Amino acid sequence: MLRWLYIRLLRAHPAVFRQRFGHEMLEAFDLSIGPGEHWQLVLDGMVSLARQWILRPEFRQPWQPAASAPASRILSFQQIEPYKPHGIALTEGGLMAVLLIVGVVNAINLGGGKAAILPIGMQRPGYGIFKLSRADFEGQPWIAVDAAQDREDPQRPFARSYFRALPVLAALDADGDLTISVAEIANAPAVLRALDRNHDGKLSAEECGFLPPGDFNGPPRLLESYRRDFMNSVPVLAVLATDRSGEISAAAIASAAEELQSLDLDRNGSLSPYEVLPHPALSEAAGIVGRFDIAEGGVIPVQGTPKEDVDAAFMKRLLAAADRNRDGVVTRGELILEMSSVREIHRLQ
Amino acid sequence: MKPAIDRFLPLAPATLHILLSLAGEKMYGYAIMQEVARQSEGRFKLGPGTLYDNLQRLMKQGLVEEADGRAGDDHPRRRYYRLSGLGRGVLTAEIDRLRGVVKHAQAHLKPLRPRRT
Repeated sequence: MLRWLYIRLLRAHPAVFRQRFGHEMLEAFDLSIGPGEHWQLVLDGMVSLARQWILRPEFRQPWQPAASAPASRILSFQQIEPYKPHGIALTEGGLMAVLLIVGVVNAINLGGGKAAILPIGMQRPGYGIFKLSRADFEGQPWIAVDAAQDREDPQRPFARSYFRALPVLAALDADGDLTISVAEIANAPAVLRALDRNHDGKLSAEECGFLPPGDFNGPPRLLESYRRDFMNSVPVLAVLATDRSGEISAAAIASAAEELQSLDLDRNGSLSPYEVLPHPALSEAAGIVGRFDIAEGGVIPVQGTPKEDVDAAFMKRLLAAADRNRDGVVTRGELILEMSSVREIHRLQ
Repeated sequence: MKPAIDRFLPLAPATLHILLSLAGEKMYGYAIMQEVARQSEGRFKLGPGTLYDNLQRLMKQGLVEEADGRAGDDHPRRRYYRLSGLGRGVLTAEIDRLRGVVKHAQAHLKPLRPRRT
């Protein structure tokens, strides 16, 4: 056991010293007698190890004897002993390297929960070197890093097609950047008036881009509902077509800038594609209108919710909030706006 | 030659004992350890670590050199060491220095000897 320990000590010495004197030191160990003497040699080996690494940096270079004059005038040659590590030493070294790697990997895996034994690894929550907790960060300012600034908005290709397909959006977005800017919003009344092809002062669904079915032979009322559905399906049109006719009135055109600002959910002054593209709120609004528009007039009376309905209390609050112009009825457009607001609030929370 | 020798003086105790051991004949490591213990009557024990650290330095300085004196039954890796000419000169100079120290000490310590009553 002591011999094994002594060999490990010798192997830990600097290579130059070990190769030059290692075998002789081991021979001295083997020739010494008794465990007491062996223990002394082990201690001597430890001291030697520290001395060689700490105090003898100059001897770590390959050893060269001092040049001395030859004893005679005969030429002398020095034989350099070729050194090759033993196969067993290489095997042992490889085995120890593998064991070390396995140990380090295990330490990393288990260290999080066993700080006293393995002070590395934080894979599982537990004690570690750095005693941090969520409480340490309370009250600290948060720094928001927008890592996706340069990435294209996935909605953008769809928005491009959508803006091209709808004359109102194409006209409002004068610079074609798919965003209706503050200036473009302010110019909205003039732009909308330019779309009034029949000069009646209003914008019909057809003037806004609605294409009636070519072979439609149904009742006019059904075609009218198609028009209303079209106007309500486009947020920009829905927010402007607030009267029962399903058209954008002259008054709505005049106040278009203010109405469009109601779509600005992030309050940055402009309308992004996210704010003008069809929203899930549209289908929710359509469902509510279909359920409560008993008179099929396209509007829901604020006070007209059946009291026996299971959602009566919720619907009463929703319709009261959606009735923005306080005319006592809620159009589909108003409902879409309200549902969008509710969704946005939930998204931000 | 003298200045070259003087820069090695005074010698450390371990160095002095090693050079003294090799003064008579060439020796291998374990024999040097035994010889040092014998010379000092067991008061100075030289471990292999200390011995080879000193031998490494002494060979680098040229005071000791390796000698070819392996016997037939020797371990194939056993090496013998002997004093070089410079080493012998340094040892001689150190002995002279110590002789002077002893002489000086004897002259000064004589009056301090306790008187027998």
